[in-house]
Parts: sequence; structure tokens; C-alpha cells
Amino acid sequence: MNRRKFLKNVLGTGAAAGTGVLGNFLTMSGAQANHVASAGSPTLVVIFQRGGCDGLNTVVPYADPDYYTLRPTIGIARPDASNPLSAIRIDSASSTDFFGLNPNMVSLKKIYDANDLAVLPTVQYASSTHSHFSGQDWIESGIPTTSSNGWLYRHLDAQNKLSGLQGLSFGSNLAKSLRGSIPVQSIGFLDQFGFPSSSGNLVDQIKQYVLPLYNDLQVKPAASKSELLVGNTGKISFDNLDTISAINAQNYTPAPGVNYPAGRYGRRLREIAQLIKTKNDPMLNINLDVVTVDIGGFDTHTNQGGAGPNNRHSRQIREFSEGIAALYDDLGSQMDEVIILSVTEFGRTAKENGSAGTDHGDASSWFMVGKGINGGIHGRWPGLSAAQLRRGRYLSYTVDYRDIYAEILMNHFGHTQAQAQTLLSHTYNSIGLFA
Amino acid sequence: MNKKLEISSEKLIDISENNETMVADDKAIVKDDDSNSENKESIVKAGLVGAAALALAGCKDGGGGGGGPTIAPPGSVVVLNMDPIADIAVQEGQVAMLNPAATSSVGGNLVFTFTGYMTSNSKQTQVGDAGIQTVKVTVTSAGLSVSQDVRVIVHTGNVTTASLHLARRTSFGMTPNLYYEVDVLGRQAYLEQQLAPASINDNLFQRRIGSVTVTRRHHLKAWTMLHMVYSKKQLLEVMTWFWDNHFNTDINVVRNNVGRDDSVTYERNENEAFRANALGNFRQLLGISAKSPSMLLYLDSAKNRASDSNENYSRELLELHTMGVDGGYTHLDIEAGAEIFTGWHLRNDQFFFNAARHRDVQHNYLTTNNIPNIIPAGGGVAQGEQVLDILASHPETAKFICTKLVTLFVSDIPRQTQLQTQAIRNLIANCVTTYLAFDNSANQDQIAQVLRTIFSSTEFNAAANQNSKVKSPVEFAASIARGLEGETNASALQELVTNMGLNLYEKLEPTGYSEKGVDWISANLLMERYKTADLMLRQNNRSRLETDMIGYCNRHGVTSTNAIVDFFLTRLLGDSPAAARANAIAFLDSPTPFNINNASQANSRLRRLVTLIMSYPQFQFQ
Repeated sequence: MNRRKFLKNVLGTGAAAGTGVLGNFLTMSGAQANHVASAGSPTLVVIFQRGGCDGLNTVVPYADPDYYTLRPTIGIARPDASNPLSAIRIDSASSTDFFGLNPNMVSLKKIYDANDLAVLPTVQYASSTHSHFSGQDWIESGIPTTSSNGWLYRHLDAQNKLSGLQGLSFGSNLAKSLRGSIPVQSIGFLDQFGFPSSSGNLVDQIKQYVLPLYNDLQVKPAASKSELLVGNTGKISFDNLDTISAINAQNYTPAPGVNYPAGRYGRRLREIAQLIKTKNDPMLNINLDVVTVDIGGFDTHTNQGGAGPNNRHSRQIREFSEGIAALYDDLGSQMDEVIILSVTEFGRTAKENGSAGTDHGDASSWFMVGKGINGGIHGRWPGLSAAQLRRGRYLSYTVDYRDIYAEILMNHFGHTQAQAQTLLSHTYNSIGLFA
Repeated sequence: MNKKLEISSEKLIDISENNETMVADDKAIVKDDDSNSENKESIVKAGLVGAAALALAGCKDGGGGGGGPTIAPPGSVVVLNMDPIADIAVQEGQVAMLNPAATSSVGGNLVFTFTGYMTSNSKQTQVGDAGIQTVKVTVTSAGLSVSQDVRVIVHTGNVTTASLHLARRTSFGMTPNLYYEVDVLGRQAYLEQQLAPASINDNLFQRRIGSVTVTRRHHLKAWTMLHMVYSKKQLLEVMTWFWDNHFNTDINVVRNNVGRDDSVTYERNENEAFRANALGNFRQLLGISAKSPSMLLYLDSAKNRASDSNENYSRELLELHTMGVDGGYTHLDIEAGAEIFTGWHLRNDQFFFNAARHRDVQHNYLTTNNIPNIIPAGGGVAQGEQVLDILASHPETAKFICTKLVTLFVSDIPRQTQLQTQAIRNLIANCVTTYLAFDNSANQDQIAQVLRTIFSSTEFNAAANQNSKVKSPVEFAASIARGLEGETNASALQELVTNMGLNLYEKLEPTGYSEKGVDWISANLLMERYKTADLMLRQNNRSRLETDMIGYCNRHGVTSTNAIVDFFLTRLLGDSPAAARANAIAFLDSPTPFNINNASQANSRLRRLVTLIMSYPQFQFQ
């Protein structure tokens, strides 16, 4: 059984009232508990498209009369079976024959057709500054103001999941969405984490002679924030070394026919699949709950191009899509317990600029993938006429990004609406992403 | 008939064949488009190549004020050459020793003479000698003579924490000489020296850097690291890196934008231009950036045309280079700026104002003290220059730049105003006052004045601000090389820096790299720091630092377990905290008592000791 449908049923009976769904799992009858066990624990994969992805050339509003006027050079042609560079036709109950996917996203079509892809073409927040820095901060903190901790961190904290590999950030540094007072694990790549064998007994020596000094820093009276950060991080720096080494020892082969795109992003998604599959290994005892990964290169001020396969936006959006499709295929039935969410800090100007690119804008397209979700297009289309665009230039948002977060927190992780609202400092408005 | 021969900078390079040649390693793996900042395989697989020759500090260093090694004029044969002699540090009451070396192509006796503080190659120093003393060393052979000045740092053995703090924050890390130099010279005098870098004798570094070939990307990174590690103009280097990062450009974007690949040249020239003005006038720095081929390509000015402008540069100019995201500008200023900078193009590798592509209409641009600025039509390139003038002089720019400098040098507590202490806010306000008082292109020391305000403030020396900033990856790696006075394969060093999260010249986002410690510490990055400390201290490893550890300890007069531990802890950490000391002693005496005369045991244990100390939490701070 799909775990979200199960959750929904639980919620529907009122069994979760007040105490939180997860608490109830533990006290359920054997028959129900088997359902939970077979469904597995939830995992959320968050993909950050850094740089501000141009939503209008990702989910193409080809039926909006202003689209081609605004984008004479880079606009993507309306669906046309004879034109490989035309938008991919997708049908949805809410807006049949209006949007198409960028043709470089063809790998996602089958997920869309399976109703497992939710498309949100108009996501953002009020009062965007159009700054990469602020925008990424806000998306990751889950609060449209600079915050010292991230929304995923607060979720883990609320569910006592801050230990081990329940939260994981792929990348050289820790994603801001996972930052908080207790350090969450970050890794560059699974198979590069740890020491070369030529380091000999260095690990044991560091454990014996160095880590106690980090522990001292944790309890130092009047330690500064920096000292606490270093102390806390040092204390956990080896916590997951043995587990990750054990995972590395297992040569991972993706499911037959699955090919991840070349490069860091694809390589990391492949390692994420490995980790998620490892959840069932009782020897490793991994419960990957939240994992983040980045794909960059979306800041297309120039030469963004149209749908041609070698254009900047095309290349990025193809790698992005092929990675998601590979992860989806690789996980197979285990996708039942997984949600993949893609986020980006802002969309881009509705009108193309003089260098065949676009500048920073407001709303952009976000995607959510999951088995048994409400696939299709979500959100009202605000229109592209000068009067409809904010300041005559920017696509307005009609979906607040925190409502997406809230629905994931509630439906995937079992937070109550009140908890989700507290975690996000936000009053929830329903989108209906989950069935 | 002594001949005093003239020196030319080109010839300075030619005579360096006896020295190590720090040509960055050509065999290092060059990253492809998609390869990444965390490509660790390159370290492991590249093996031992391009090793630097061994050269112990203490034997070679820049010549003194009397000029570097003297050589023959162009066309003649070099007949006499003296190796540069390093500064030495000696405690008063102990013996100072100099061991000059020279080569003569005509044979004959080499006669060394010493004048000034020393009259022979050794001297029993006296209590009361403390100070920076100068010795002129002359070598004579077959009627030719060559001289150089050497500095002898005579110290009392005591140093103040304030001196160590100033030394650390104004440099890329402590060295055994610097440990005493600031105190001996006095903080004020040291600071003034660093703020007047032209007065600093940096001959050895000039000789070293002059022989480096910079044609490829990893050469450029190695070349940059060499400046950070070896130049004596440390504050200048700290500020050069600050500006290069403040006006960030990504070499990948620069490369992708030009038909032929001049990106290394562009980035190097830009770095040199920042260096030449790093302590100078902000308006000049802003102009260097605005017109640098790297920036013209990186933020798309080169494609910004009248027909339909591109906002990339205009936005980041306001948000990241001058006023800051909360500086009070509006989208109208961004749009106006985009049009004003139309036609700021690139031709023949240089800035070129393309009037045909410039939209030359009147604009309003910002208000300064509530008075709107009007950019008149018909100004051409002067429109953009006027915008840079307005921005450089704007109080919000002063606040943004001063806040960043205080973050860099004093405290990296988050920039949000409500989290800053009142003392930090006051310091920033004082810096803004200084910045604006010297805000005139005639003032070529505007930034130096701001730095003077910072370093002379009470807040700079506040206890809470000492040893409280997490080192960035460049600071961490450079401080290892500097602390051990080692020779480094800089090409390998920059790869380690990349592994620790800072890929020089390859930051895609225009924000540049963070000055805040919180962005440089994570479980992953801390492990990379342990690995860096390990790889640099290995023998027979490409990343290694060439330091003869036993010789190093002997040279500094420390041979027992306790003396060695105290030496490393004080030099590398600033003091010798009890728990750190106990752990280091326990390690060094394990499983058998340490014996420096047992070479194989002593060498490997000393190397591992230093790796462990550099993995200590205290070594992550500066």
C-alpha cells in the first residue's frame, strides 16, 4: 500500500488527532503495523535548481497569447508533432491544451502520464528582491526573511530525527535548508567520504587525541557561536563514517536500463538511490528522511536560447529531468515512500532581453514527483499581459512555496496542520498536491 | 676595483636556476567542464609529479634593503651570485647565526663580510638588543662584490596576545618569525609597514613568483596561492583576495564567452589590478572591475545593447559590489543602470565603449541623501562613469563595504543588524565616517584609512574577537604552509583548497565566497580539513609540504617532547591550552618516549603530531 494513502486513511479516522501520526504508528495493531512496515519510512529528496530557473521556458504557456510576443527569439513552439523542438503536449484537467513541457524534459513525460508528476508553474513568495542570495535563503529557511535555520532542519528537529543519516546534504557544504544548532551530515560524494587507506591509523588517532577537544568546546563556558558550531560539528564528524564506509563497500548497480546523467548532480542522485534502497538493510540501519542535492547553471542572462538541445537552458533542464527520471525508475516500487521536490529561487523576466536571455523575475516552475500524488498542473495562471505581470515585467505567483512545504510536511511526514504552520510561520492554504 | 652591478627584474628571474622553480605542475589533472570542485581523485591518482626542490627557510630569503643579489647587466656573463638570506629570529642573549652561500663562475675564494648589527657570521646577542636589527652581508670574489641586507629579529621571548592577534588577522597565517616580529616592531609600526607595502622588501617572493609560468587554469590558482603563502606583503594579499572575491568572476563563464580562451590572462590581469589598488581608492577598484574583461564577460556587459538591455551587471553592481541588497535601491535603478551600461563592451582584450550600442537618454539614478541624481543624455561612456561615482560615494556603499571589512577582520557574527553588538555597530559607523572622509579619487589611501580605523579600534582587540573567526579554506591551507616554513607544491595545495570548498576563480554565483565561518564548517568540510592536514604532512605524497621536520625542530632549538609540543602549539595555535597540550604529549610519547635522534621514529611522529594539531578545533580559528 502506498504510504501516503495509508497516512491519509489514518488521518481520516481521526486516530492521529492531537498526538501526531508517527506516535500512533507505534501503538497500532499488528495488522496495521505490517502495512506501515511494508510501506517503509518516508524520504524527501529536494533538488535545488540554483540560479533562478526560467519557468516560462520550462513549463511553456503556449496558449497564452502574450508568450510569443514577449519571447520572439527564445519562445518555445506550441506542440507540433512534426517539430522536435516544440513543447511536449500534456493534458490536465485544470488547463487542457494550455501548457507544454520543454522538449528537453521528455524524460519526465511518462511520469506525468502516470499521474506521478505535479507541475506548479507559478510558485514564489511576496516581495521578492530578485536577489539570488536572499531568494535562496528564503527558499531554504522556509521563511521569507533571513533565518539561522532551515525548514528541513526544523522538520527533523520536530520529529527527533537529527541523529545519524536521517538528514543528509549532498554538496561540499551543508545546505542552508538543513542548517541549525545541531549539525546535519553533509558529504560531497559517498565514495569520497572518509580517508584514503594510506592515512593508516589516522582515524583512530584523531578519535583519541583530537575529537575530545571538540567535545570540550561544546561544553566550554560562554562558548561563542563559532566555537559551538566547530565543537558540535567536530563531534559528529566521524559519527557516520563507519556507516558510509559500509555502504561504499557495496558496489551499487542501478536498476536495469537506468542511466543517470553524467556530472555531479546525476552522480549524487545515483548515490541517493543507493541510500534509499539501503534503508531496508538491517545491518546498516539507515533511515534517510530528508536529502538535498543541487543542480546549477540556471542564471541564463544571455544565450539562454530556445529549445535547441545545445542551448544553456536546454542542457540544464535536460540534465535536471533525466536525473529525476533515472531516480524514479531506479527506485521502482520504493518510490511509494519517496517524494522528489524541485525548487528554485525565482523565475525570470517574462520578456526576453537583448542578449537572447532573461533577467531575474518572480514566479517559476516547481515540480513534485511521487506515487499516488495528484499529478498534473497546479495553481491559477495569472497571465502574461502587461497589466497582469507584476510591474509589467514579472510573472506573478499564485502558489506560495510554503504551501507546498506544508502539504509535504503534513501528508508525507505526518505533521499536523498546526505543526506545519508553526514550522513555516505561515498560514496554510490548500493546493491539493496529495490524493 | 669592485663593480657594483645593476639589477633588472627580468634578469632576476634568469639567475634563479639554483633555486627551486615553482612552475606549477603541468601534469595535474585539468578539470573538464563538468568536473567539479570536489574532484578528489585528482589528488590520489596524480601521484608525485612536479615536486618542488627542498629549500629550508632560514637559509634563503629576500635580500635586504641594499638590493637583491647583484648580477651582470644584459649581455654579460653572470659571475657572482649570492643566495637570498632569510630573516632570522633570535632571543636576546642567544647566538645569532647567518650562513650565506654564493656561487662564482670564475672560481676563486668567496669572502663574506658582515657589517651593521653583526660583524661576523655569528654574534652573541645581549639583553637590550631586542629590535629589528640589520646586517649587510657582502661576498667578494675575484674583484667583484655583491651585498644584501638581512633582518635579525631580536626578541625577548615574550609576545603579547594583541600582537599575535594582529599578526594572524592581517595575514594568511602565523610564521615562526612573524610570531615575534610584530611584537618587536610594535603593532603600530608593523601595521604601518603593512599598509605601505611598497616599503616592504619582498625580493625572495619576487624571485619565486617571477619564475612561475601562468598559462593554464591550475597555474593561475597555484600562482595565487603562492602570493598568499610567501609574500611578505601579507595584508596586501589579504585585501587582494578580498577584492577579487568581492568582485567575483567565474573563469568558466569568462572562458565560455570568448572565442579563444583568454580567461587565464583576463583573470590574472584583473587580480594584478586589484593588488595594485587593494589598499587604495574604492572608486578605482570599482572602475577596474567594471571595465575588466573578466567582469564584462561574466555579468554580460559585453552583450548589453541599446536595443534591449541586460540587467545582470546593473543588478549585481548594486546588490553585491556597492550598496548591498538592503541598500535602498529599487528595480527602477536596476533598469536605468542596465541602459546606462549598454555599450560597455570588449574589443582587443580591453574595455571598449561601443557608442553605437549605447542608449544615451536621460535617467534618474538613485538618490543620494534624498537628492535624486540625474544622468544627463548625451554623456556616452560618462553616464556609466557617473553612476560608478555616485555609487562609490554613496553612504550605503560605505556601510556595505565597511561591514564586509569588519566581518573579515573583526567578527563574523551574522550581518543582520539586530545580531551585531553595539560595539560592532559603532565600529562600522566609525569606518563609514573614515570611508566618506577619504572618498575622493585624490585620496589614494581610502581603504588603508578604513583598515587603520579597524585595527586601531578597541573592538578589534576585544577578547571575544580573538581566535574567534573560523579560517576559510585558503586561510587554513596557507596557514599550514606558513606555519611550517615549508616548500609547497602549490598546484596540489590549491586542489586541497578546492576540496575544502573554495575553488579559486570558479565561484559561479556572483556573491563570491563567504567571509563567515558558518559557511566553512560542516561534517564534510571538517573531514576535508583533517585530510588536508594529513596529505600535506605526508612524505612521498604529491600534496606534501617539503619540511624537514627534525631539522625544523633542531633549528628552533626544541628537541624534548614538552618543548616540541609547546613550540608547535604556541606557534600554530597562539598558546598551549592544557587539554590540547596533554593530548599532544600523550601522542608524541606513544607508544615509546619520543627521541629526536631516532630519525625514522622522530620524522613520522613529528609529521603526524602536526597533522593532529592542525586537526584541533583551535587550529580552525584565527
